[in-house]
Amino acid sequence: MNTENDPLGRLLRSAARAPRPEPAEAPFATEARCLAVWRSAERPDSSDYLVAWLRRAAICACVVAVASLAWNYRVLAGSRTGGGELAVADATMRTGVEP
Amino acid sequence: MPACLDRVRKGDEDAARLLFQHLYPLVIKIVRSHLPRRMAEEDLAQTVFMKIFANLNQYSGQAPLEHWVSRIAVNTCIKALRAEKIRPELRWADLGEDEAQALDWLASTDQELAPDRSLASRDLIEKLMAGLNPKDRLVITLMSLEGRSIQEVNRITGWSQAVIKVRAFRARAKLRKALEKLMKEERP
Repeated sequence: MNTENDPLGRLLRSAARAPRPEPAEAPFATEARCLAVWRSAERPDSSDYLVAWLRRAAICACVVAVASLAWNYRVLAGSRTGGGELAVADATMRTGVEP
Repeated sequence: MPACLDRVRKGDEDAARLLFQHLYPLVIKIVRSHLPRRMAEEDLAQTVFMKIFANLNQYSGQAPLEHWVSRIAVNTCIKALRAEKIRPELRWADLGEDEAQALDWLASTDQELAPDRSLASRDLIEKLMAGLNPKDRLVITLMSLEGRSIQEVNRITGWSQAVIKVRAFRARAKLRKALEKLMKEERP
């Protein structure tokens, strides 16, 4: 099939000849909206600082929680070892006393 | 323009206004060519400008600013077109009188359409293209309607030359099929 002269080719050629409206001057409303959004992005408001502060506080809280967990684990592990030694001594005494 | 960009990056509002006014004709031209059916061109242009301003720090200055802006605009349009989930099949009843006459002419003769039919042709081809996916639609608009070369399409979209050729071939085949189907359809 001759694709140059088929209906689609003729339709596309005709459509390409259609005059296009020249881009007009930027409407004031669009310009104002875009610049307002740009301005607000340029200057972060106080809520951004609050969010950053809360994020730092949350990270600190996590670090403290992990440190306290680690400390407690060591204490618990230490007491468990001590308890084992006492149990052995207790059992020795019992076997010595009982007939 | 580089000085203006530096001033925009430093927060100079006058420079931002100047940049907006300089880029507006380019952006609105791209937006008009690839506008989804149910979206206002000003809304889409605003989205494009938001992206331009938000990413201005990423613009290195190696390529011309217009190329960088064109790519942002085209990608934004593709995204907006992709959001249009429904791609309706065109029927005779959807055509205006001038579009129907143009279609009749195409079906009945082998001759070119008269110059005064160009607007009707443009409307008809846009209705047919509404059934294509955004990338196919883009490649037809850029190459067949705007007459851009493969190199230009590559610069605007970032697609390789092989991809552009294949996509253009497939898009035209889909469009041809849709047109032929419409021409064979019973008129109301």
